[in-house]
Amino acid sequence: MRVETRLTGDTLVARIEGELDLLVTDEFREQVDRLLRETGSRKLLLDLASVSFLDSTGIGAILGRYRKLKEKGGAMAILRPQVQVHHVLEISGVVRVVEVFSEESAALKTLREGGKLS
Amino acid sequence: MIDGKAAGEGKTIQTNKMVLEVMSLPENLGLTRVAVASFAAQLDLTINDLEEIKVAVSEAVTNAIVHGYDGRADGIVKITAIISGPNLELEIQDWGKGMENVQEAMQSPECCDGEEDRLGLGFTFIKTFMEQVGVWSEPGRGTKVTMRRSLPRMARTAVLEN
Repeated sequence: MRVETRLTGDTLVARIEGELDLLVTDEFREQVDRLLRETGSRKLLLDLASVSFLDSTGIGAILGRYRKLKEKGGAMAILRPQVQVHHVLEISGVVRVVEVFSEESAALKTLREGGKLS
Repeated sequence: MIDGKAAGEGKTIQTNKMVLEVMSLPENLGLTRVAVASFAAQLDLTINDLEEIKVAVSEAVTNAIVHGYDGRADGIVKITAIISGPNLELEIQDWGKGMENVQEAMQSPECCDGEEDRLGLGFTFIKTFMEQVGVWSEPGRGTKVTMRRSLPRMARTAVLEN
């Protein structure tokens, strides 16, 4: 798994690459939490376009980041998940609390305006 | 005849079996997923079917590593995959600590919002993607999860027509 990040406005855009399972979820949590801390950002856009596999362990890590941000008044969105990853996001109920976008500009605009309230 | 077809050879397969034993290391998760998906590809399954089977395998093997062996690396996880006519049958077994109450462990959470509490969601995926899911578990002896996936109706019709 690789995590590439950049700060766009006040949103941390994290592009994840690889398979998000038990093997890498600790690293995923640590990297994303550290980057949020270092940048001081409370808005996170997870770009999942290059994530080829996601299971319940990965879902737990994604929702953990969502909860942390929500507690701090922040927001989170997901960008361009592949079909099979989107399927898992749907069944797990993630899409009910975290908005999924196909266009980065629309995701950034929504996050700028405060993100999905739930 | 309802059969799976061997990739590339045009042969039909009535039965086939694969047994894989791995140490209880997260590093082996990808291997178990890919091995089962490659084996299952001998049936006329779609890519979507194979992706769902991969999630089910990942959940069961993760349960064995995290809950069966409490994250210890020296346990053995045994994955048995059987093609039986149009069906794929899977069995994932560990010899870890086992569970007192299988039903409780399989309960789905209201919404999967815990980083630690993924067991219910893992079983939700297994039950959603597979059929005839069974769990045997005994404290101190281990856990065995069995599941089956049938060839989808449309693919089955296509094979029948051929």
